[in-house]
Amino acid sequence: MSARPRQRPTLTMLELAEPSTPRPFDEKSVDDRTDAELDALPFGVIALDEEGTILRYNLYESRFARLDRNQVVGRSFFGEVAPCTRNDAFEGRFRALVAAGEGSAPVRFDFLFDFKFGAQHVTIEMVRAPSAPRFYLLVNRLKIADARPDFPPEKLAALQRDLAPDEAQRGVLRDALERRFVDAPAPFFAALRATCDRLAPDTWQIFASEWGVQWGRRAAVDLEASALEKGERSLRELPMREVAGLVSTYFAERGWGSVEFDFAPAVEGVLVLELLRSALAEAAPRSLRRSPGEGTDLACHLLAGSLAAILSSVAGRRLAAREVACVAAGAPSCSIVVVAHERRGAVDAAISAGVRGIEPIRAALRRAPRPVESQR
Amino acid sequence: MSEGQSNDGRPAPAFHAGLVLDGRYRLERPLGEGGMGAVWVAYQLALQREVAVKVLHFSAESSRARLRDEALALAAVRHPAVVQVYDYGEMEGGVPYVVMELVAGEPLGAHLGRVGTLPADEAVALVLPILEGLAAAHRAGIIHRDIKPENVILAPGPTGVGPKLLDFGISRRGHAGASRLTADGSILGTPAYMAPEQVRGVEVDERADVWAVGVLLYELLAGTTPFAADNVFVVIRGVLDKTPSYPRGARGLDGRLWAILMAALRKDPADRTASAPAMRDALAGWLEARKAGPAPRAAAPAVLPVEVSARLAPTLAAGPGSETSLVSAEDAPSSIDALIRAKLGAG
Repeated sequence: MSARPRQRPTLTMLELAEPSTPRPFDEKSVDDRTDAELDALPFGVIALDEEGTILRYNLYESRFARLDRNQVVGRSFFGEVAPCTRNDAFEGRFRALVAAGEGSAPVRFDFLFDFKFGAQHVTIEMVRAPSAPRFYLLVNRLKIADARPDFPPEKLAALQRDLAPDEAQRGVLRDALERRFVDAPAPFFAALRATCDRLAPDTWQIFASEWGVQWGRRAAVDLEASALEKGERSLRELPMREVAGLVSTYFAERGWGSVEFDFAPAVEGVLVLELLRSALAEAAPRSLRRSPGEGTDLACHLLAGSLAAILSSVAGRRLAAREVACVAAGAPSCSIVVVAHERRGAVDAAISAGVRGIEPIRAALRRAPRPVESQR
Repeated sequence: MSEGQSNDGRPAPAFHAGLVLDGRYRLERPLGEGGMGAVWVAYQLALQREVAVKVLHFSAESSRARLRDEALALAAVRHPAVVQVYDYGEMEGGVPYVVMELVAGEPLGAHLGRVGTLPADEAVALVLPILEGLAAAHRAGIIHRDIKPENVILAPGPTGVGPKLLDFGISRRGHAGASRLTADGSILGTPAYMAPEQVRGVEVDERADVWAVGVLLYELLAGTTPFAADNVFVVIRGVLDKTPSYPRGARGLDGRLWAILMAALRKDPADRTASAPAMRDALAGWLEARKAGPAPRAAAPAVLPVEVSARLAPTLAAGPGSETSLVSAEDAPSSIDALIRAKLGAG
């Protein structure tokens, strides 16, 4: 059956992933998280029962292991999915954790995953869910290396061999649904916006920002994969200018436009992005360009949300991104400011008051009172 | 299609209480109306008993021949979990009807609406006879194609209340091919229980029924179908792509049962549990082991020295930082990287 060509997905995406606000991560609470929340995490999560059957498997893990979730959930992790873990160092620790019973402490160790497409240096954390006999493997990738030539082939994941006939074309992403999420074309959103403006004009910003954040989280996994797979370091360890280059390329390749970063205002805690071209602004309805005001003159919320999610992942803290000027309303370029999440209120207030452009927004930020420091 | 018209445009007889079909079945009261026909409670004059009569909305010769063949095949299936077919006939104008056992009981859909979910052992025990009934139908060459809670009646039988499957594929095969479209082009039935190959409109076999039983079992455990959504397109997309979410609140669900369930819900029929008897055997084995007591644990290897972790996940571990700006002006480091990262809490 592996020789049969896989059908290309034909449906457009209509579902907005369930909204989720990132909560501070606590491995003890991982079992409480919804699938959508697990998919937003920038590391692999696998839930097992006490015999090692896979109960849950998140997006990040499915991309890096190059396995289709529909194939691995319900199968034996040690026996069928990851035979390279069938040893004392991995399965032995798992069995010991299971045997240790309730209240056992998490276990942490380094491991080398051997896949047919390469080896991955990882740190594994095993956690027992507090309220049920479920065990979570948290997988943090440190480095991706070439496949070890001496590794016995029978210990490589058989499912990968069977399931990835067109692997070279599909990259790290094994999940068609998520692939479409990051590959949705700009005209699709332009059409969606036109419909939205006709039926429910007030909902577009909310929809677009949330979609953008969800999309950006997946894009961050994509970017992380390409950073690690090129033998480089994690995105979080790359020089900021290189990250900016990767992000620009990522957007340009997908036809969203051309992004430039301006780091100069960072001394004030503001990062400025200029969209020299924006597919969304160019596709925005003409009526938009004639009626600025009330925030409806801005067309690129989706890209702003996406950039916020990508940069938050890189920065390791929550950032907010807002469009403050848009080609759709006659500005020479689309401008997006990125600030710490706690300062977004000041930007939103200025935008609502009709302030447009980088410099006026920066001035408004300087005047705004410093927000109360949040509790760590 | 206007009322009183069959699909090929010829006028269909008007149905009303008191109408006697072929001098043998007197229509008493309507039970329900579907895309392909209407079901009536009727009185079988010769045997003096109540029966169910399904009158279909089409009368083309090829459709009738196929329906007749399938009614014949299903009539040979004798299983307590399968509604019994008694008779097949054609009215004037060629409108076909099928006479079946009248099943009294509560539809599973209504039952679920009351109880929400079932514990895993009860859910499996309920599904086992359904799979046995399906196996009997499959042996006779009949694919159900529309298994859902509304088509399962919890009916009293000789050994207590058990499920009985209604509405086999016979009523949906009237039109040529595998299409499930009604005359106006809309999809017949709910896609929540349709296998991916059914959604795609390709020819289906018994594995489409295995899928639907998988969806049904998931619903019994979780209280919702695995691809439930408000929008039919989202449901269809889920059927084609989405991995069912592990229902953490399900009572008595364990990894072994989850493995059996997921094997029935593989997207590609070639990967799926191959037949109703295979799924039945797997579930019966699970139920037996469950009744025997908790699953024996695999022997743990020698306990290894393990490190106790602080935290693995660096990025989200810190949560929202205490800094109120990306970088405060006081820092003003020379390098951009240090500038951006100085207070970001990365690593």
